[in-house]
Amino acid sequence: MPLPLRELAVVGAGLAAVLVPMLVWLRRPSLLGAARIADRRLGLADRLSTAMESCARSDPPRGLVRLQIADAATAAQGIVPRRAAPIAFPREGWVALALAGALILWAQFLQGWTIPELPAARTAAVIHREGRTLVMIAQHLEGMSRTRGLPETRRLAPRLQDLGRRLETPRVTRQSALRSLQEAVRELRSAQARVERRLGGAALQGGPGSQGASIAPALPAAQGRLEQAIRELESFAARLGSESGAGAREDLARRLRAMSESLDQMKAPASSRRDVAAARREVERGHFGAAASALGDALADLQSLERMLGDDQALGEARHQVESSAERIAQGGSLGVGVTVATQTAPESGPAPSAPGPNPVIPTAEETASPPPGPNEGSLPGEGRGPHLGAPTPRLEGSRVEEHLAGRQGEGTAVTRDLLAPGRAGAPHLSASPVPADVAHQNDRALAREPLPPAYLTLIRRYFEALETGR
Amino acid sequence: MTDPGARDVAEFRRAFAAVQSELGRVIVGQEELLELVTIALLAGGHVLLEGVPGVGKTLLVRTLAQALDLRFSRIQFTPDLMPADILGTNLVVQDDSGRRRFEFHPGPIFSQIVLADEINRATPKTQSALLEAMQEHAVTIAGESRRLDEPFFVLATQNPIEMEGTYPLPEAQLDRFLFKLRVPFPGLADLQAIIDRTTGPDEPAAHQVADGPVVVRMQALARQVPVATHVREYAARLVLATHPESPGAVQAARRFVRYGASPRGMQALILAGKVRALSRGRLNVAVDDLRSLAFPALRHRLILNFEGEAEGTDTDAVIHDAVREVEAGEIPAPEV
Repeated sequence: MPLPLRELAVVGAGLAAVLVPMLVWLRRPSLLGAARIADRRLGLADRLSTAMESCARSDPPRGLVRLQIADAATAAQGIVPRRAAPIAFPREGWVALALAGALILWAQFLQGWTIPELPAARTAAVIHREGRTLVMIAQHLEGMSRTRGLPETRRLAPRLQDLGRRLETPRVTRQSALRSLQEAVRELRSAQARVERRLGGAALQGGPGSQGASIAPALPAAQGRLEQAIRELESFAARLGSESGAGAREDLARRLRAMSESLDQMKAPASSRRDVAAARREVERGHFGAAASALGDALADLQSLERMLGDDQALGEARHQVESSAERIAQGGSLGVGVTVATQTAPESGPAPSAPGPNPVIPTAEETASPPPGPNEGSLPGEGRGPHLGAPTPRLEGSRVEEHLAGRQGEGTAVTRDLLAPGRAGAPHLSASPVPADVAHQNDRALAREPLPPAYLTLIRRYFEALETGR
Repeated sequence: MTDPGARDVAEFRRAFAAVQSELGRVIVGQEELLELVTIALLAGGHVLLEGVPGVGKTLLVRTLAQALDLRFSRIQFTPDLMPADILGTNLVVQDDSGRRRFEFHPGPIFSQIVLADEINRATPKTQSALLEAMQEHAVTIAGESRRLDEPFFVLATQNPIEMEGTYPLPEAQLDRFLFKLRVPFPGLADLQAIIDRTTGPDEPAAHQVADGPVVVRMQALARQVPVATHVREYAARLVLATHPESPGAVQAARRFVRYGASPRGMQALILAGKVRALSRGRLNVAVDDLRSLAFPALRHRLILNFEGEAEGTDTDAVIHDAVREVEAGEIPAPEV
């Protein structure tokens, strides 16, 4: 937690203003002391102090003592009090003033500068780390917005990246970081509201009473069904171009009827439903060209809707990340040790990982618990700092797989899991779970798009099959 | 002495300055030495002069006697010098009627200014003959005590380079000297002036500017100079700083000194300080007076230990540290 420098400076200056005069008053010299100070300052060779002592005696001064007092009085007549006792600022006062000045300078010019190992330094480290995370997320969002054509995400990603870079710079105070993050959250929320208004206008739910209502809670399921519908419409359009027989016509008409019902159930936009119905009618009449045109219109409507949904989801996750960063910064360095989960979503719509996703990563109690303190804490196994080496620090039992998949970042839900806590003994806890249908569909679609070598294709397919069967 | 007035103080200053002036007419340079000798005389003390032969020690004593119109005697200390040679002796004399009786023939000690030349060449027995005279200003001969005329001032010399066949003065006797002064060898200009003054047709001579009673009055006046508490405290701290076992001892004293300065050293500081203050027209002793007098008043009162002797440590170095480190006392606390 950074020091409240301005407040400290004000308090220090106030204390100095009160304490210094008090100190001067308490440390004022006695009359004899004043005489000695004047003797010393004015070079009076102890005249005044000797005379003061003589005057303090009970017996009346005689002889040389009387003359000495007269001599001291003569010397005292020429004394300028300001010269004899200049207003001397005590050393403690100078120290207090210097301290107050340093605090003011610090608050004015070195704001955000921290001393290592202090809580403020840990907060600065957290701010820096969150800035780096935001930069990475913004870069990902930018790439995703380009490939999927998400206009709002593309507009806001550079700003998010700028914010991250600003947080990465040194001497950013917690207040300014939180201010910037709150501003970013406001922008993201505003953009998300715009997208949701457009989504409401597109009337995924259809009914007039639901115009403008948020559809966010229904997004994951709707997105999956929408993608499936788009894929089927694409396959229908391809078949319309290649098949023209009576059997194909009946089959297509049947499938298009089922598609219409599916679109009705998912409350797809009315235009797309009309286009699909029109396509079905044209197929039944045998006008495949007109049917293809109607299907193309429906496909364009659904793809537009898919982009809006992707925009909404990306903005939501970016907002969630910014809010999490703000929360971590607000709590300072207290979150430095623990498990953090960062979830990024691929272009193709999938379930929102911010809510419990299809394959949620839930840390076990053993993982979240702090490791026991030991003499070799923070050291390499078996190389403790203490005089007596303890047992090696427990480590995760794992081996690195030296296999890399060539290619560029594609679609799909990317889940990264950063383990920031010290390792402990035990088997890896990433258990295999059944692959949901929408993930399998995403995978199939991505594999169909990408020009992958056959060997890799087989390898990936086997991997997902193995996951599906739980092996 | 009656209650002194401003006239007495003025007379003191005049006489002091006149003596200095007369000494300066004869003695070339050595202004500080002349002032310190005069201070010792007026403080009622004695001086041990240390210097090579031919630097004007005897001339100084003789000139001082001339300027003050005091009786002067010079004793050349030799190994065969006996106490009676200094103090005097009873001789059997026969009067005109043929009767024999003892008659006291005073020795050279019965002067007002005595030059004990090369005092360290006489045996300790003879040296000790000076003890009573220096301390009590009286001598006891054949059971009869005889007062010495005031003022009585012994000025002893010793040669620092011819140490063979000498008897170093015992500590008790050293302590009786108010000052131990080192007579520096004259510089080039002073040597030229000595040539001019002593090889011409007319040798300079001092004129009388005061006499014995005046000196005695000056001594009495000096004793009445007031001393502030912190100045007395400074003198005591300075003396204690030379004692190795004292909490306030300086590092050099802890290392090189066996015994520090005696209380006589403190008395010497204060007394000489009073004279110095009056000679400067001041009616009180200042800390600065004590600082400037610390070396001549204390240097012969420190007894070095083996390490100090082996390393050739000068007692002036110990005193220098003491003067540098001892403060003049705390400023009194605020009055409540």
